[in-house]
Amino acid sequence: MLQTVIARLVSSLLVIVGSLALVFCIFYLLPGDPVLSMVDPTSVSPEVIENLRHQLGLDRPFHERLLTYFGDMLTGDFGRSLVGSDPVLPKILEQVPSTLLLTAASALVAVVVGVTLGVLSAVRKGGMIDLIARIVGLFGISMPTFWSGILLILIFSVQLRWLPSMGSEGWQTLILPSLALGFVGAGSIVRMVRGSMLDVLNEPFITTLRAKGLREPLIQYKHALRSALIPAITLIGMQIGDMLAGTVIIETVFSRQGIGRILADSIMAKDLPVVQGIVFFTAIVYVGINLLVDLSYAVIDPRIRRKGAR
Amino acid sequence: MVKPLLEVKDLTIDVHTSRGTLTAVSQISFDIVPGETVCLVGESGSGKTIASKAIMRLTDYENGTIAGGSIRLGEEWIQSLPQSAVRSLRGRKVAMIFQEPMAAFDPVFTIGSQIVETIAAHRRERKSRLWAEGVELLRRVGIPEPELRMKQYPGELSGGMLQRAMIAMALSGEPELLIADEPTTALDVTIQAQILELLNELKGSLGMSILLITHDLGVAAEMADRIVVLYAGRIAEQGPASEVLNNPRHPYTIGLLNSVAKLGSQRGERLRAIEGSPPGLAEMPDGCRFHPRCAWATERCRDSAPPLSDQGGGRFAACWHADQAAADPAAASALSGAARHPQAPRSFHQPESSDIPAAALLGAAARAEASAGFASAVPAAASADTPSASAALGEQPASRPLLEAEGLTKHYSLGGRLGRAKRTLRAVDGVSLSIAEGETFGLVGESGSGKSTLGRLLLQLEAQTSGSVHFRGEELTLRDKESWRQSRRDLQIIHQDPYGTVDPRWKVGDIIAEPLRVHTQLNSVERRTRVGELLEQVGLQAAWQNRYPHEFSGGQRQRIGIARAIAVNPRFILADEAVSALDVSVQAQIVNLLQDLQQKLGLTSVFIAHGLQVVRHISDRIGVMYLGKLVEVAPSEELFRRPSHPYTRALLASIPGTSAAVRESAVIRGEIPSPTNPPMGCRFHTRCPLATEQCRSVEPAFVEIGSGHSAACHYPL
Amino acid sequence: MKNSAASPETGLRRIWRGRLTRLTAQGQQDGRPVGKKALAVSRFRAADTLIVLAGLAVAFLIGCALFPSWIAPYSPTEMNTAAILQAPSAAHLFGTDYFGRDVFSLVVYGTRDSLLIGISSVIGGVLIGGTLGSIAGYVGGRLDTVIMRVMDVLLTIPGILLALTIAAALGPGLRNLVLAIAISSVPGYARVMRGQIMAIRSRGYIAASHALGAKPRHVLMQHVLPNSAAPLLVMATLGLGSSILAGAGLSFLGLGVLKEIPDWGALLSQGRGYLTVAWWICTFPGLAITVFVLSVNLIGDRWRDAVDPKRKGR
Repeated sequence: MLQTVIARLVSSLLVIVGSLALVFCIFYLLPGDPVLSMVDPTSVSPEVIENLRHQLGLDRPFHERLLTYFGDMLTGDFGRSLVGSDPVLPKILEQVPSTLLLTAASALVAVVVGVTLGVLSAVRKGGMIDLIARIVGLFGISMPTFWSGILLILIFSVQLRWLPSMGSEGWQTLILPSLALGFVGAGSIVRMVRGSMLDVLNEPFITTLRAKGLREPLIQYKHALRSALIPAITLIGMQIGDMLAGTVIIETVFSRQGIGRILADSIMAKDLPVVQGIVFFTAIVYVGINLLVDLSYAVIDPRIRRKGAR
Repeated sequence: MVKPLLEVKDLTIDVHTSRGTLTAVSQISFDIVPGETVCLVGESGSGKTIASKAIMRLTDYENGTIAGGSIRLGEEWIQSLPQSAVRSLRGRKVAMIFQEPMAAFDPVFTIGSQIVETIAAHRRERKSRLWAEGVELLRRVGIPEPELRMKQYPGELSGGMLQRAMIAMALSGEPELLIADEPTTALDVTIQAQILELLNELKGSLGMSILLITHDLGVAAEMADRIVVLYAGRIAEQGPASEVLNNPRHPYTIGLLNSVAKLGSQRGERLRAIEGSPPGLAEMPDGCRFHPRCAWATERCRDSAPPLSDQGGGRFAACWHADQAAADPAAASALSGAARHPQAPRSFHQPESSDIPAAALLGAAARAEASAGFASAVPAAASADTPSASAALGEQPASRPLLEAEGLTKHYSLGGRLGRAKRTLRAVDGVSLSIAEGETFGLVGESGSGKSTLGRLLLQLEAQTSGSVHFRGEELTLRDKESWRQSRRDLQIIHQDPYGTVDPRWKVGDIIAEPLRVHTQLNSVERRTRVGELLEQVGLQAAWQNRYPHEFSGGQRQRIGIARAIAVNPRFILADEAVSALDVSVQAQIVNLLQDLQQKLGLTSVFIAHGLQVVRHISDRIGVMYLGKLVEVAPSEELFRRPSHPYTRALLASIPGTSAAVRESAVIRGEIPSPTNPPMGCRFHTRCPLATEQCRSVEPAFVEIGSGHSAACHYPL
Repeated sequence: MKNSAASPETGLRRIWRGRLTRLTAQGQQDGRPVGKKALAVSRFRAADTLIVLAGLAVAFLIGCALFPSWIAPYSPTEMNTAAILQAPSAAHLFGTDYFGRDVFSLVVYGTRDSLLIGISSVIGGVLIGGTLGSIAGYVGGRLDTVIMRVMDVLLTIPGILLALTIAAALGPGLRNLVLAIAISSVPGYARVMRGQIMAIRSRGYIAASHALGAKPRHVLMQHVLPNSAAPLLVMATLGLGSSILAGAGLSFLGLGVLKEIPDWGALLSQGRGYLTVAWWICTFPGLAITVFVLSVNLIGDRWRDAVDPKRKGR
């Protein structure tokens, strides 16, 4: 078990280093010249561009740049914003709690709605709940988040005036954005849980459990659900990552504070160090979530636990 | 008369599918008295499993409904009870065990928790008490270290152990009726013998009734007090076991009995197969459902279904010609004369299977007695006891070796990542053998014995770890890709799964033509002609080239597989479990076809199977494998008459239907050890009743102990 | 290829036929039923109607993309200062925006870029991802490890964020947007294709074909690829939905095509400022996105169920 944990930790670290390199490559290897995408060459003097190149270290050889970049990132030096020239890392960290709160609330919506509906629809296949679950599943993966966010604002803020349409103060401002963001995840999770639950309910061991005289709820919620959750957990992990990324759009729609909003603004302002920093930060969080997912397998599925022990 | 515990009357079960409602079982009636074992015997599609599930109303969950008739269990009328009431009977009054023990347990809970929850479903008790009870149950069914097993997960136990645990779980509610649905089909023959023995022992000591569902007449012969033969959802025949087996009244039962390669049948002689294959649910014939496959069918059989009529002596048969069947000399001769010997009342192929190993095992006196007793019944057995006969049998069919293997070894390495110990799976370990031109070599062994790996090595489908294979004197090796590919023209395979080994998107004509495309320059017209010939050669129609594999039945698909294998006129064919997945009645057809083709085309072949009787029927010589080693090789008659290795003896004694006396002396305990960690010395010593200190430390050499008869044992019998 | 005379069929036809083949085989092998009979029948019909409707919706929107001028009543650039922010009416089906443009016409004209972004990026993603996955799955060994590690790294950044980052680095423009979405979808397709190729490779008929002496090329072209393609195409269908969503999302954030005729995402972004006064500007472009993606997903689901016999009767 300990070996599994260590092995997973090591590979997670490697993946983080990899994603660091990836971010570097995206910004410095892709055909676009980062400087030219920051400033308009027709309106700025060549000296300014040269200056900027030097500031970004673009005039140094590739390997040197890569190493410096690695060193900076790993020591927490994410550089300075091109707009306000304030350091990037504190700027991100300051906004992190708000975004994590939104992600967590959305994940809660997605998991509670997704798993509950998925399980119920599989157990009562063909019934009313099944119909609702299929609709949620289909619409969840088909509606753009910004549109569902806008619809929620139209209904609950503009028409009914129940909830605020913007801002990040107080719990009321959290409700609509987390519903909009959580709905997407709920859609995927419903579809997955329903499918895997139906698969498990078709397994031969379910017949054994019935032949033993167990009550249906015990069969469905103790036995079938546990096996059905195993594939669902991977998806839940990925969905949480997507929700974290989705804050870029949702925080913009609801004018909330958070790293997503900063990211959107930085992209418009072509503030690359900030964009880089946020992307890298998100990657770390995402890898961390996936690590947790992998470890939670071991708790749920004894077969994996055993493999680790051997 | 004792009141039956279970009474099934005119039971009809409908199954609702996307293609409409189909009737899976029509008007079947049978009963079981307390302490009795009744076997439901039938092939695929006979409805035997769904009928057994209906008794527990498990059909409700599989879109089946009881459309007519009644099921009485004790005082309860099952068909009209609400689910909740049936549920309280399940596990308590009636329990069930299943075919695939691995699939029948929830993989993510421990054995212990699954047993405990079963008891808890019907009884309120402290958890620690239930746990102790679980340990006791596991001990009761012969599981070693039950405390430890309770805490293990299903994936950590072998199939045989899991089936025992499944039985323990079924016993936890002290049921009056145990339904066992093909409980040993997925298990090896030595484990099967152990499980059947356990069931019999439990039945005796607990006074349970058993409803055993099986396709294997041997198992039925060994277990049943009464037999119910199902065909296409209807009862063909039922009655006391000895009567049904020895004096069948229904042409289907007769055909089924004839289809089985018996130990007493003459090798090389054709099996009397039933034509065709069992009908699917959606295509049930009118009238008697067996009539399209029945030699005696008349107008009447085609028009109206025969009722189950009383034949006297508790026997019933659903055949318009039951009297004729009873009297027909052809039918009578189909059964071995000895089978009706009064001293062997419950025998299926007992006379053949029991006297031979018995003669070999029980010493000279017993042997003489046995030979005398059955001399008239099994002349071959008597003559084989004379030295000249065995010498004749030991003679090689041809002299020139076609395929030779020298010290073949295949090791797989497992694990070895991140500090975990690297293990070596010794699938095949130093096997040498030589197969003569025109010979059929049978290879038997339990799962994990390495017989399939050896087959693949012989054809060089895998590279060996060490050793060599020579084909017609030239080394066959995977290293030289081009000559290896050329050699495939001479070396072909018939696979176990005839559906899985053809591309489902291809037409049958293209499938059979694939080797022609690879190895010949024939154009498409010539290929079509050749494929037509091949299809006819394997008993199909040339016009079926444009059909897809799914349109064929299992037996027909295997014929297609055979046509593909012989398409380029190979010299050598590997038949890897080629008939194991087929229904009994179809198996015989394929065995006959293989034998015919072998003779006609002068093929040399290796026939791998776990069904000993079939191997004996088709092979000239047989090799027995155990844990990657060849432990005995002998001409097939000789092997069955005088098994030298204790393992061979045990395998033979495990054949269902073997008499208890023989089994007692030869059957082995325990299970095949892991090939990653084979025992020191003789690999069989952990299960061998004769093992000594020498066996534990010194590996026996594989030496010739008679003409063409070799064994690897310090104390050959 | 030598066999083309014997079976002159295109890959796609084989795929469809294979699907039918498996369906019937399934039906014959087991009587596994699909819910209460009557219900099953009625649901089947309801599902079929839905598929037809979805097909019609997709066809209509593709029509809008190809021939917007035939469908739209106004020019998308025509600003009618006399009709600013009008609510939906007979004259303006979806109302008008702040510049007096007809929202219905804008949505119709916006279809072209929206679909173009989605479809091109799916084609790009499937081609790159499918090829990489096929190589990884078929060749195996070190190459497999290298390709899949790179995919793992790409997967550490959630899809939309990766697309966003790439788009930001490349700068605005249709081609860059397509490239960004395509790259971000590559790992998904690569994984599916690799898994599929490996699954097919372990099938009995591959071993059988190999055992009868067929060359690796023959096995790959005749058995492995035709049998692996169907799931990839199904995934591409479902992927079209998410690519359209991603494209609209990036466009919404201002990374889209900066043209006179806005695509759906940009339309929504523009309309957001008038949310309190004109609900229709945001509602209808969003509806168009949802209808298209929903229809594509319905079709993809149905196709997947047909290809995968295990999912029959869901």
